[in-house]
Amino acid sequence: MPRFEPRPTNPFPLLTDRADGERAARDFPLSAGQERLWWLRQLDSSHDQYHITGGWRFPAGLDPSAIATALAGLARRHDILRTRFVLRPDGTTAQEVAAEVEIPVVRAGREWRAAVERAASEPFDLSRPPLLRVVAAETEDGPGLFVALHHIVTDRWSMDVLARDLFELYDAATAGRAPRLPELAVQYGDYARWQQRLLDSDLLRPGLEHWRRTLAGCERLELPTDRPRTAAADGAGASVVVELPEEATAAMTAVAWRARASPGVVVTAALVAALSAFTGQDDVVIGAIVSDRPRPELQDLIGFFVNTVVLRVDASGRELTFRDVVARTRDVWMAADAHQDVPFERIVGAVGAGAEQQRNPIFDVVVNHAGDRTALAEAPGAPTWWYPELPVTARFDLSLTTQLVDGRLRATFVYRPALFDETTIAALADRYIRLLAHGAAAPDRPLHELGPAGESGMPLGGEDPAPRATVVELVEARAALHPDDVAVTGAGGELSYGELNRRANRLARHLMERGVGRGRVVGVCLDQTVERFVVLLAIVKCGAAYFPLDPDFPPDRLRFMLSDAGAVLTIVSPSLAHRLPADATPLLVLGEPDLTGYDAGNPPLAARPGDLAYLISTSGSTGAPKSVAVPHQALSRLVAGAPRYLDIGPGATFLQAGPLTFDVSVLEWTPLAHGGRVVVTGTGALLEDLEAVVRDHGVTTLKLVSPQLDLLVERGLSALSGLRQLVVGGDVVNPRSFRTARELLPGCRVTASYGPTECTVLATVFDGDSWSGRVPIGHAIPHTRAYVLDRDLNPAPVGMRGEIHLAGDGLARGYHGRPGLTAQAFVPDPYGPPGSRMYRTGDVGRLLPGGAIDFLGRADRQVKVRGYRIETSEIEHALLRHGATSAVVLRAELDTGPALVAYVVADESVDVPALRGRLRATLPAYMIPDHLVRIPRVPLTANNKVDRTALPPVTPARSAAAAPAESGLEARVAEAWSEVLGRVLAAGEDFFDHGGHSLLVPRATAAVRRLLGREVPLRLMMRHRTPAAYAAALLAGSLPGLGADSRLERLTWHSRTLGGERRVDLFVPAGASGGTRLLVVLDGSEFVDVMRLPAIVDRLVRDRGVPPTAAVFISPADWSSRRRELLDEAYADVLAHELIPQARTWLGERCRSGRATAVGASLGAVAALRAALRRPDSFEGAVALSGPLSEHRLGPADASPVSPARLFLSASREEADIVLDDGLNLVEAVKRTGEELAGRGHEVRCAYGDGGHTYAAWESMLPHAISWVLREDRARDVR
Amino acid sequence: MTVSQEPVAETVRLIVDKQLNLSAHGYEFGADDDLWALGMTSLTCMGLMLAVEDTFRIELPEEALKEGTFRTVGTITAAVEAARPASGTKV
Repeated sequence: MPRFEPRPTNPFPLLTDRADGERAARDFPLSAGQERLWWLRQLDSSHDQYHITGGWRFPAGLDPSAIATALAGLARRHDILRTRFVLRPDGTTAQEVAAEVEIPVVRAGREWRAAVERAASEPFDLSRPPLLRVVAAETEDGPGLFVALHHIVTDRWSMDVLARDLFELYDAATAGRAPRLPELAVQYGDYARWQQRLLDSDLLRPGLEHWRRTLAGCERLELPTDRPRTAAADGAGASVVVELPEEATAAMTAVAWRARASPGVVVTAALVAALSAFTGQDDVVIGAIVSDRPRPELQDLIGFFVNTVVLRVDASGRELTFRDVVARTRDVWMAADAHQDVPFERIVGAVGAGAEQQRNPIFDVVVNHAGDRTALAEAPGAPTWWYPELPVTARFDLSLTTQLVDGRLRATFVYRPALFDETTIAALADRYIRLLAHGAAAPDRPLHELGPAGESGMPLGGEDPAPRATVVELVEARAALHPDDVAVTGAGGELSYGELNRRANRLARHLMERGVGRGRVVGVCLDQTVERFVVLLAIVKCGAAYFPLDPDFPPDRLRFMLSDAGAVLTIVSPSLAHRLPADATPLLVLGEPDLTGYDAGNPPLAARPGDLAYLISTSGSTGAPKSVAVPHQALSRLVAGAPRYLDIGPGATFLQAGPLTFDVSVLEWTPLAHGGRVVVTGTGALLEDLEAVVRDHGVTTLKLVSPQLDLLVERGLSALSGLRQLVVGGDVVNPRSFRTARELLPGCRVTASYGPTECTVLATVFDGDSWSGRVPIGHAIPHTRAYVLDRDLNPAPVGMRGEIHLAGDGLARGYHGRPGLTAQAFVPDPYGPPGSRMYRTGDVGRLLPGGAIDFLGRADRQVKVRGYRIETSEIEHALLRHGATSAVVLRAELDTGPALVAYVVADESVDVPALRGRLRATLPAYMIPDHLVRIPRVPLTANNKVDRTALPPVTPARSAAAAPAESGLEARVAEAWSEVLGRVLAAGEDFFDHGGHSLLVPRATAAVRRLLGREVPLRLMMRHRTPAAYAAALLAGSLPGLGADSRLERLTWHSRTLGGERRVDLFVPAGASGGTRLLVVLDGSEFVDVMRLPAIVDRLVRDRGVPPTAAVFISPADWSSRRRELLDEAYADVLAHELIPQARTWLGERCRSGRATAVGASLGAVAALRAALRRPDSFEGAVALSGPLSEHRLGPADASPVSPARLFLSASREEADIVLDDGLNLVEAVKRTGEELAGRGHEVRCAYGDGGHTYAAWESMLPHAISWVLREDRARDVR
Repeated sequence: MTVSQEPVAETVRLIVDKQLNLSAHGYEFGADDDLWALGMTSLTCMGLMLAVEDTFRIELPEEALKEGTFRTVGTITAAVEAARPASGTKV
């Protein structure tokens, strides 16, 4: 038994700083848990899941004045009830205890329900205590008192404390005596300060290390949801309650003690096991809520004493028993308990788990075992608990609360109905309670034996065996009965059943002469003419199997395939003969041998049900091709059941638009066996001839694969209006296309079908309505069993994820000549008749409540990116919903690391880059593709599957994440965030992927607020998580604010000297005349986008008599070259020689002559001053804001004669903290430089403001600066 | 080693103190103080049970497996005494 290190002690003294009787307002830090709740409250102000409610009935009556006295006493006793929570300007939070707070009572009388509901649901303003509402009600059972508190001031345990204190205070008030309550040694604020001292110390470092180690490489538990996750989850919840009978509960408790575990551990272990089954994941990571009052002094306090810990339990192991899971859970619990002092947010930051908006970091499922509760007094007439019915709120996707009620364990599952159906959670709850009951009864039996078969409602066995008549017998019978009916039509004319049969008979006799017989394989390489069925029928009549070959395959591959299959002969259409290797098998070119001499009557039946009918090569994405060998009995099963779901009988005309090498072509046997007709003809690579074929041949029944339907929907379905049935195959059918087809083809039945080649074309079909945005694959076809099984091959309960297994008569014999591979894929079927097999599809699905199967993805297409298991099909579905015609999402290994790439086919009206933004509305951020690539069409393999290898590789122009900032604002946001993170964050990097967590958001936001000098909502960071995106979002709302006739133009300009395309903004004032002045503004994008200088100039001109002024704003080509450019000795010359003449050209008549004024801030201030001093020919003055002026040489190298310039220099008083290279601080540097320049004869104004080195400071300085430098000379004379 | 009753109670006291972190701040507790009221949780109780079994190399019998056994230093000491071979023998 492992030894457990107890939890480390908080070595700081837990003291109160309150002198007795003092009631002055004091402030404290927030405890770690409060910080989390405070943050969650900031994220969404419209609703709040973090309310704690409770109530009591007062059978002996409720005295209003006594209760008021009691509440006042309660507020006096517990500081926390008088506490307000505030955000300080520096982004830190504090709780301030007010000296007095009144607790009002809503006297609702008999109309109490609305009042109770309002009290329970209305959001609290955390800065306005009390965070406690009280409703006095007159219920049918007498007076009741209802309270609602914000969780930040209470917890479940506290509610017992609150009840005890309140009743004692009430009794004392009624009796007119002093209350008898234990004295409180400390208050909540003392606890929070005590905890913060520990958090600020280095003592938690080992704990953080523990969590980092424990959670390394952990996998998020992905519950199969019934609805796609949307970004906008609300707090609505619903619950499913199950109970363990008394006897089982006692057994469970005994098991707990015997395993040296607590009941809380055992109920958690059962949840772990149930979730592992539910998700198919071994690595089970959940959260646990623990009540934590680590000191005796804290027992009698009201407050938030709750920690969140992460439990990561390894549920792997084939023979895992319940006792094993209990022991593992116990060890995990105890380790977590010992390290619970590390706040959850720090764990999140340490493991880089991000803070998914609307998704809890690290886990979505939480367990909460309500433990040792204090009972209320049991004196007659004492109040009893009263819980009025209230809407359920869900704080997590799923949470389990267990408690013992009258000796029975009650398990309450609270879930988000936005994600789950009740049936899904009920199935999970049922599984859970069974696990607990069975585990308690037989803790040493392997868990996989506990999953009883049949609970899933899975149809098991019992279907009638398929008729054994082969297609040979069926077609011969048709030919005998209706010889003149058309069997095959298409390119090359028509064949009646009689003709088809006779010609096949002749060819069969010829083939037999050439050694074709039972057990043989014959390669076929045929063009799409009616001859196809003469050949195929002839081969199967011989008892041999046909093996379609793709003429486009390289000869080596064909040679390999033929020899691998042991083909004795290859039959080829004349036009394709040259494509085949001459040396692989003997060739028979159709039309060459003269068959007229052969008997046209049926040869003796050769094919037996067990003989192979055909081979189909499935290339697979990797490795050598393998051939699926399908016997006649499997083909007979397809053919026999087909009329029950396919319209292929007499009068029907069937077309499938795929090549013979694709197993869908096997469906063509079904009309031939039932008297319908088959169309065999080419439809063009992009189905461009399909409409003509459908029309010309009167097609009634059309089989397409899903991408083909998408293609047709895009083109319009009108030409298909004559169809009676449209069958769409493929595991993922675009629900939009499916719905469109149903709507636009009213007389047509639209069917979805699913089936791997290994199960003879089809396994399931779906005819019903589309379901929760998906088209499920539906129900098993006749003579077929479809199972959804968990890892232990137990039926997965309804709603739970499992692998789809197929069984029944349709199973292929296996992979031709590959016994090992066959044994892996075809395994014994524990649910079928003895000796039967089932095929493991590798597809993941789940059973829906109605019994249909929902396809969830390929087991091998679940990708893991940044720790998330992602079902790419989910993203594909979302893209389809947002207007893509088809989409393929892959995980790609790029230089920058693994990334999600979406390949999208869409018509021109769809803005593909904008799709990403729309996806954000419906998908969590980790599912947003990193790259969206528009492609003209999805490349398909010969078998009409997505050819992943043919998709264009993604070559990001440069790593998006590490790219340098594109604007000054981006760079400054990145800088501010980097400071908060304590590490350098690039403009394109996600704050939350780089150690950021939600509790750092207020500080990071405060830095930006200071920079901009305006309010920025905290939640902006949750949506815009990179400095680049954040900067863009900050600017999204800012309008230029110009007068009607002024305008701002954004241009692109190329400087010969500096190189690079750069942004230039041009401000053209209203009513400008020839005398217009010109500002040249450096770091232009910041002055335009952030400081809004154009609007400032516009206003100054309109209101304050500043002469008409135009402005040209020049931005660096990219932020990384800004410094070099601004400090370049030649920069002033570039402005003088290139930019000013160019600006005058743009401005035309308005601004022909005169000198300009340079404007810049920070390094831009240096460059602006230099321009004015070195190029007096072009500049008459400069505005230099917060420039590190003494660090750089400003004037010209030679002591040329001074041409007086008008120079405005400014700094902010806080910039005295900025020390420059020469030892001066920035304010001194400005002052000193101003004096020097004035001494040299320039006209200088130095101004000192507030706000630091920020946009806000500069923006507020600009009106003064601009009006001073631009004022008319007349004004200058009289100053 | 020969163990008499006093040292058992003292050892139990030390284990309890370590598991519950009580005397770190000079908090005194007696043999009859209710540990549940001093902040013991079912998890710390588990840790306490494991530590007691470990230290005394005993396995508590079925009838001792209940919350009451761990209520006070006294009750734990009694359970340990009962589970140990007769007092005074070599362990």
